[in-house]
Amino acid sequence: MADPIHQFVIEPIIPLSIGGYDLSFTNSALWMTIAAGLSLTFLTSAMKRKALVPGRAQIFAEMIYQFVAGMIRENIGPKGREYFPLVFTVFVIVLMGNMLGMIPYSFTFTSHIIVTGILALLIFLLVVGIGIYRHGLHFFSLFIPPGVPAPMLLVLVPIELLSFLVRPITLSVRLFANMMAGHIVLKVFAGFSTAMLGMGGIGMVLGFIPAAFNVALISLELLIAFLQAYVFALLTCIYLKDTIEIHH
Amino acid sequence: MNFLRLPALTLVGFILIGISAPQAADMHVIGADPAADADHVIVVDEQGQVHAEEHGDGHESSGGLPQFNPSSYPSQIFWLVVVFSVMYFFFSRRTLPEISGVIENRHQHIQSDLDSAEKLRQEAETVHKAYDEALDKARTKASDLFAEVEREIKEKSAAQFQAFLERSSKEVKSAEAKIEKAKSEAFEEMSTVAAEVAAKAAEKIIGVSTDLQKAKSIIDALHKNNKKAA
Repeated sequence: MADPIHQFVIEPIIPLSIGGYDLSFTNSALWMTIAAGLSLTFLTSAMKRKALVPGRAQIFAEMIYQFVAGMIRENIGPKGREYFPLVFTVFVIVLMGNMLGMIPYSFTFTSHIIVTGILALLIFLLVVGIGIYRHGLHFFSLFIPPGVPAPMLLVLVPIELLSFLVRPITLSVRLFANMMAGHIVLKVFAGFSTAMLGMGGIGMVLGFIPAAFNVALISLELLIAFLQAYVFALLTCIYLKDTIEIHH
Repeated sequence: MNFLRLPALTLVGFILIGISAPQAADMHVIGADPAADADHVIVVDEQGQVHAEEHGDGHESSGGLPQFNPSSYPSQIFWLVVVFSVMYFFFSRRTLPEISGVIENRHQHIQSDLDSAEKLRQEAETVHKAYDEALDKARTKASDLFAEVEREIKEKSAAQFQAFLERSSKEVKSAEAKIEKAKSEAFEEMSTVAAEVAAKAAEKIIGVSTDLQKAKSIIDALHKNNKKAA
């Protein structure tokens, strides 16, 4: 049976070392490049005609735009427009990573904790940086829930602080774990199928059962691939909201 | 604009953070001296990478997740930063303004269409109102004219009728006078004729010539008597 972990192994394609660091162009980098290339090519070619009455591709491109724009409008507000390119890029890169990962023999770069972690940390540090830049020390009133008696703050402030600090971890682990678990399950079921078919006899018939399960699981995984990209972008919006307004 | 540059700067910061940890680990494995000169470090590092990869492969076959093998972190972080920056740059500079421009343009187009439709509708309404007014005016004018004409006709016919009455009564009167005159003339002639006849008769019968004038006066007197008797 094939090793279900093997699909996550990073393999260098073009070895590259700069300043003593191994920056090889790997399968992960390849699929990141494909994700960027595909999304850029598609969006550019879809918007080439700039038609007043859009064609199919243009409708799709505008749909993604409106989807992210609506998410920002609802969760950050009209002031959130300045974060639009950031949220859009985060959404597209995660969505492309998840979706391209569904292609057999491809590599899912969002199934690596370091990738999701860097994205989450970027958002977290942006929130802290812009928040302090804009609101100064007032930003830290984020950890003081409004209308709470002073003694309770002794308990609540640490909780608020912890829930704030844990944000990049939950954000990155949620995406990474979902992607990894889904792909392992798919691989394990596929492994069952090949193992049973290899046994011969009754296995030749029973081997199709895990394969059928896999068909259902793939559609579920496609849903999760979209849903996790949506959740990632949505939480990005919710976190970025703290830089715009602080509740009192 | 200041904030737009922040993601890129932050990511560059990550390169430094992310790379320093595994680098330190590698150096520890092969025991390289961080104080060594630059050339030496690179050579040692190349060896270090080979080492690390072998170490990693061994680790994977023994069941560890590749996700937790830090030897691949610098490469992943580096390429993520590159790809993310390129995407961010293109999206923020080209793609997104393009899409928002198209959507905005369409929105304006639809709005202006709606506006002009509304204007045309109002125009049509004004025209319709003006038409109604003109129609009303024309109708009252027509009925006025009709009444006027009727009145005129009535007046004219009444006047003509009056004139006809006057004329006819005048004619009747003059005719009556004429008749009267003719009558009296006829009588006059008749009495003259009677006088002549009487004179002739007297001449024939008794053989006396009579004065015609005398005879006539006698006739007249007779006639007057007759009239009185009648």
